[in-house]
This record gives sequence, C-alpha cells and structure tokens, in this order.
Amino acid sequence: MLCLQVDVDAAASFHTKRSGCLCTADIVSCTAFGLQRVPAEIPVFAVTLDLSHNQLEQLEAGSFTGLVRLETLRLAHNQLTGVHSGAFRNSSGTLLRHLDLSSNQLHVLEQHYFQELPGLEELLLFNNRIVHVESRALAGLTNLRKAYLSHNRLTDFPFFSIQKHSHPLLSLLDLSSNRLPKLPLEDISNLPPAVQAGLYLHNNSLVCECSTYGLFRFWKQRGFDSIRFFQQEHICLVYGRQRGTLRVFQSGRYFENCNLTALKEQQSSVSVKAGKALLLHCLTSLSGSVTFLWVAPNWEYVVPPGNNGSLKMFANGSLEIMAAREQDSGIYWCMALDRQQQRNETWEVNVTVVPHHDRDAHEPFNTGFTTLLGCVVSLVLVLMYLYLTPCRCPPCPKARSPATAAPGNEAGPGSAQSSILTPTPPATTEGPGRKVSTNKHVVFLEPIREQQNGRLRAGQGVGLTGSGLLIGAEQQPRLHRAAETDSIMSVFSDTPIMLP
Amino acid sequence: MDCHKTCVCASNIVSCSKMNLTNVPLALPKYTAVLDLSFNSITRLRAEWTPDHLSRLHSLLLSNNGLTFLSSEAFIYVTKLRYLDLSSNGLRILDEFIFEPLEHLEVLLLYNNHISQIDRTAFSGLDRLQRLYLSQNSITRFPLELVKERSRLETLKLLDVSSNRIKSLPLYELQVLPAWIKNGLYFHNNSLSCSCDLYDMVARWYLKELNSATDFKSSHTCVIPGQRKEKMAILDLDKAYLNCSEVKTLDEEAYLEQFLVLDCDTRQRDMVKRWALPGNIPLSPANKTAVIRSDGNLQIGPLRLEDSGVYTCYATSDSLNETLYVTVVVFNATTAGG
Repeated sequence: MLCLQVDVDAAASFHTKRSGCLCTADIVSCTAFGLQRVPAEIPVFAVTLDLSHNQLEQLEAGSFTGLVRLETLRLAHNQLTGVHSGAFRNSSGTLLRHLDLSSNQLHVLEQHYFQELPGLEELLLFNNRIVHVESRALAGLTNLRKAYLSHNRLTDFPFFSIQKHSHPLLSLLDLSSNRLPKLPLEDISNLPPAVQAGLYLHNNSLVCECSTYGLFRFWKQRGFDSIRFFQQEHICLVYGRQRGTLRVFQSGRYFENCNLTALKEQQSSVSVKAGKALLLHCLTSLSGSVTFLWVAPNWEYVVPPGNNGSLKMFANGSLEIMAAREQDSGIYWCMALDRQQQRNETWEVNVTVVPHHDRDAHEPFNTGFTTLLGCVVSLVLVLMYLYLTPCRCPPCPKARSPATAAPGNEAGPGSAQSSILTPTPPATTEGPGRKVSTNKHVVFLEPIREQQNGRLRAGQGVGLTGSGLLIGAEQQPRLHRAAETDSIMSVFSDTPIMLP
Repeated sequence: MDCHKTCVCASNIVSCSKMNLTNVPLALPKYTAVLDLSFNSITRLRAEWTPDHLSRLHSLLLSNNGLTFLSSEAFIYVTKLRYLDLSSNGLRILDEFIFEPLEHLEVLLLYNNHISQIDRTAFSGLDRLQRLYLSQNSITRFPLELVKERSRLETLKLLDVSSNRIKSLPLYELQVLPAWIKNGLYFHNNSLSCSCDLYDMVARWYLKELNSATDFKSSHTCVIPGQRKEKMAILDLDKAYLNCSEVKTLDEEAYLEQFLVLDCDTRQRDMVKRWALPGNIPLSPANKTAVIRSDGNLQIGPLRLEDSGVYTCYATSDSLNETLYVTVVVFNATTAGG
C-alpha cells in the first residue's frame, strides 16, 4: 500500500521517517521518499502527483497508466536522463496541464517525449543538461503557454517550429542561461508577437554583433519584460583584440557604428492598395483586461467602436481601415493599457496606401518613365544650346549649370518637371545671363496629388520650406530614421517650384 | 539576492528548494512569479520576509520547512498569491485573519501540520478560495463557517478535513449542500461517533458516487462509544452494531396528483442540463406535466401512475459529462387515501 495510513490517535511524530506517501483528497505526495522508480500502485484519485526529490532515473513506458485524473505532475529534483516512448500512455491525456521536469539530467529533448500530452500548458525543463531540442519536440503542444528551458546547454533552438498556428497561446519561452552563440534573426522575427514579447535570451554565449544588439535594443524600446527585468544580464562575447564579456546595454560605444536601419521590424510597416481594407493589430504582450487607444496620422484619437467613418475599432485592440485612401497613409500609434497592473505598452505601424494605377486617370506617366523623358529632354536642350546658339566659342571646360535650362521646363501644369540640386554656384554666368541664387536648393518631392486638397502627404522624408532648407526626418516620430535624413528620393513634382 | 549564487532563477521562477536556507533570501526579484522555498529550515515567516511588494508572485511553496510561526503580517506584500503551500510543517494555530490579504488565493495547502486550533476568522478574506486542504492535523472542530449556507465561500469546491480528530459533523447542514460541494468534502478517518444518521448520509453520498465517499471508502470509519474506542466502517452500520435501515436506492416516492421536483444534482457546478422522460422520451414544450426549471431541476405533476419510471438527466460542461438517473415510484393512491 503506497499511501501512509494515518492513525489519528497516535502521537504526532514529526521527525520519524515517513513510511508511505501522503495521500489526501486529490493529492498524492511522495516527495523525498527514496524512490528509484515510479511506484506501481498510485491511487487513481490523484489530480496532483508529486514525486520530487527522489532518485528516479528513467520514466519507463506506462509509468502513469490509469491515472486518468492527473492534471499536475511534479518530477523535479530527480536524476532523470530520459523519457521512454509511451511514458505517459493511458494516463490523463489532455488533462495534464503542468509538467515539472526541472533539476534533472535530461540530455536531449526527443520528439516523442511529450507526444501523448497535447493538453500541456506549462512545461518546466530548467536546470537540466539539455544540449539539443529536436525540431518536433514541442510539436502538437497547441495549448502550451509557458516553456522554461533555462540553465541548460543549448547551442541552438528550433525557433522555426514555433508559429502562430502551432502554438497560439505561447507567451513565455525562457532560453536564458544557455550557450546560444548566434541568433537566427529571421526565425526570431517570424515568431508570433506574443512569443517575442516573452522570449528570454539573457545570459547566453551570444557573439557581440550589431544584429543582436539591434534586436535587444528594439525589445527594450517595446518595453518587454525580458529586457526590463534582466537588462544587466544581457551579455555578449567579444572576440578579436579584446576577449571578454560585454553587457549589451552598457556598451553603446562598442555598437555605435552599427547601422540599425536594416533591423526595422517587418511588422511595423504595412502597405495596402487604395480601396482595400486593412486590419492593424496593437501588438502587445499585455493580457487580461486591457483597454486600447489608437491615434491616426491625422491626430485623430480612436477608441472602440471606431470613428463612425473610415475607421472601425474592436475591443481586442485591432483597428480596421475600411477602405484605404491615400490620406490614410502615415504612422498609426496605439497604446495598450492594463489598469489593474498599471502597465502600458505602445506600438506603431507605418501604413503606406499604394495608389491604384487604373483608378487615377490624371496621372500622365509613371515615375520611371517621366524620369527618362526628363533626362532625354534635358539632354536635347543642352545639345541645342551648345551647338545651335550663335556663339561659336569653344565649349567652356566647366559644365554649364543645367539649372539654366529651366525656362524650357516650364511646360505648364500637368507635365513632369525636374529640378536639380547644385551644391555650389556655377563659376560663370554666361549664357542668357541668369544668375543662380546661392540659396536655391533643389529638392526632390513626391508628386503632390490634387486629391489631397493641397495638403502635402505626411510621413515622407523631405520637403521644401520657405527658406529652402531640407526638412529632415528628425521631425518625424519614428525610430531609426536618423540615417535617412540625408537620403534623397528621386521623384518629380508636377507643379512649378517657387524658389525664393 | 544574487540570483545565480543562492537559487536557480529561470526568468520568473525562483527555485531555492533544498538549499539549506534558514531564512528567506533577501531582496527577492520583483518579477518573481513562482517562489519555491520547499525543503529548507525556514521555521519562522516574519512580517518583513519581503519588504517589497512582490506583485507578480502567484505561487509560494514553503512545504517541509519545520515552519512553526506565521506572522500576522506575513502576507501583506504578496496579495496576488493564487497558490500557497504550507503543508508538512509544524504549524499549530491559525490566528485570526491570518490569510486576510490573500484575496486572490485559490489553493491553500495546510495538510500534515499540527494544527489544533483554527480561529473562526482564520479564512476570512479568502474570497476566491477553491481548494482548502486541512487533513492530517489535530483539528477537533468541523469548520462549519466554511460551508454554512449564508457565510460560505462562494468558490470553495474542495474542503479536506480528513485524518483529524473531529468528533461530530453538522449532519443536517451537510446534507442540504449541493452535490458539487459534497463531492469535494472529505471527512474520512476522523473520530466520528457511529450513528444511523451518519450512516444514512455516507450511504447516500456513496450511492451518488461522490468522490469524497467512493475514493476513500475504506477510510470512512466511526468510533463505537466505549472504553476501547473501537472503530468500524460506517457503511457496515446497516449490517452490524446499530443495524441501521439500509439505504438501497435513491427512489423518489409520491402519490397520485402530487407534484415532485427531481433534482439533477451534479458533481460539477454550472452544467447544462437536459432531461428525458421514462423510456428516453425527450421533453417537449407542449408537455405541461413535465417542466424543466431554471435551476435545471425537473418538476413533474400532477402525477399519474404512468409517470413512474426512470427519468434521465444529461448534464454537460466543458470538461465533464454526467448522466443521472432518478427512479420515480407513483403509488396508486392519493395522499388523502382511497
């Protein structure tokens, strides 16, 4: 008989060694009982079975046969090196929610380990000796919410096996204190947002790299717990002249040359065709009673059910742009607020509405074609000036400023027009005698559409002010735009540019 | 606390089990969700064992510590606790309002201590408590306040007071409880005096296949009054000693013209219930003599002889299905006679 027969009349003996398991109501507790294998006669009423702190070495097939009510199984602090195929056969199947295998000696997570436990919600595997997780080890665990794999010897992990459809409820994946040398950034950025928000990678053997730095920086900006609570433990290893360990968030200088623009999160930028609907999600790690708020690019505040017009908003934080128009382009900002825990998170999405070519009857040419045409026209005009004008002087060594060909460009509204930036004024003022103003800056603008009611489209990189200065991207509340300040987009304006 | 020296820290789980601790480690991380301090020698849980709010802590494991003292302010900083394991310790008394700050607590394990005194307000404030384990202590008084109709905890579905020294049960109050509470009410292996009322109750619980009766059938014992304090199985009381009248079936007996309410008293709460008449005939709205009530019970009447038979209640929920059978016997007479 496995269960201790409690004699209520006997004197309470606290210090004598127990001669049986404690069985009460729906709990069977056999902790620190010197067990070397799973006992055979475990009572069927067990909903919680605790076999921690014993000397179990293997989980043989059918170890838990007949325990049809089992929901929690604790096997921590044993010497388990493996789980045999069929270990959980004929037990409680989907009822088993919580499995604790921490502090054992597991070596490899083989794909059959959890095959018979499709209802698993919490899986504790920390403090083992796991060097490898087979790619199908976590397959089929569609109810998995939390997986703890820290304090092992992992040098890789099958991130690709975690998808929104395979693990829809996963919100915590702890891979801290392992030996991961390099992160498969593409697989990680393809993880469902809820998993990324609960992915713990601190205290690994990561090589100090811009991409790793960029990922952690991005997570910090998102306010993820993994960074918030373990900032100091995000370390990386430096090779080369200086061998050593760096604290990622205290080594800004080391990473200052990293070009972080390439690390723009894919999901934070979306394009949609004009007229189509677009559903934006407020990606957040908060759960429970969360209220959401969106701010549209025109500074309109949106709460459920929407703005009774172009935007519909759901209680789960999603925002639907019913029929995208070009003026809906821009940055959509959302905030998720958990009043109970007094936490908030923000998220931004950059929406680009791509105009439909067929619908816009006024557009004369596409951009590429107009560029080519402009070049050809300019070339023709230049040649005309050089060879057909009265002056027979040999061509000057210094090239004429092509800006002087401007008169030929004013072909009227509706046609393409080009303007070219001259960093310095031309050396001569020959020709028609036009003096080039030193303040004249030529800029490249996106075509301004009539439909925009004269409003310049927001969110673009450059524009023209009265003083002729380039408006840099600094004024835009976006991440990682610093590097784009000086980039120039080559487009044409179809209205004349008034220069000072 | 230096997480990597003192304990094993796996993101929000702090595991300090069996680490020769005599006190709770200082400066526990604020993000801790599970704190395992089991199998140490922490004999006193002082008021300031955590000076900071551990607002994320939902599980605290303190079993097997030789714990003898719980400060009355031990739990003021862990108010989000859902699971508290104080089993296998040396606690003797549960003081007034000792667990009051734990308004989110769902599971409280106090089995295998030395508890002999429980203040009537000890469990006050535990508004979400679902499972309370008090077995293997020295309790002499059944905590009626926990199950009594007006004061009972709404969510309590398991109360284990087995293996204690309880001498008597409030039999009437227990009998009127719904099946889903009786199912989780464990009182076996105590010092109950043998009586036919006790036999009646346990026999009925056993016939209804309630877990508390069937899982521990051999432990349902009572004490024969006398010097030797002999014990016998409660369910044998119809065969020996008191020769109580046997409880065979749970038939409903009634007379013609009477009304009966058949209950579908399921082991689980909030199940969706559907009835079928004898012969497995489904209920129809046109039938005025068999009406299902809002509480899931079936009212039949005025009764005719043909209404005798086995009525079936099909109860479903997300996790369990239950089928209950009620046998109705209609006597060929009215109560007035003739």
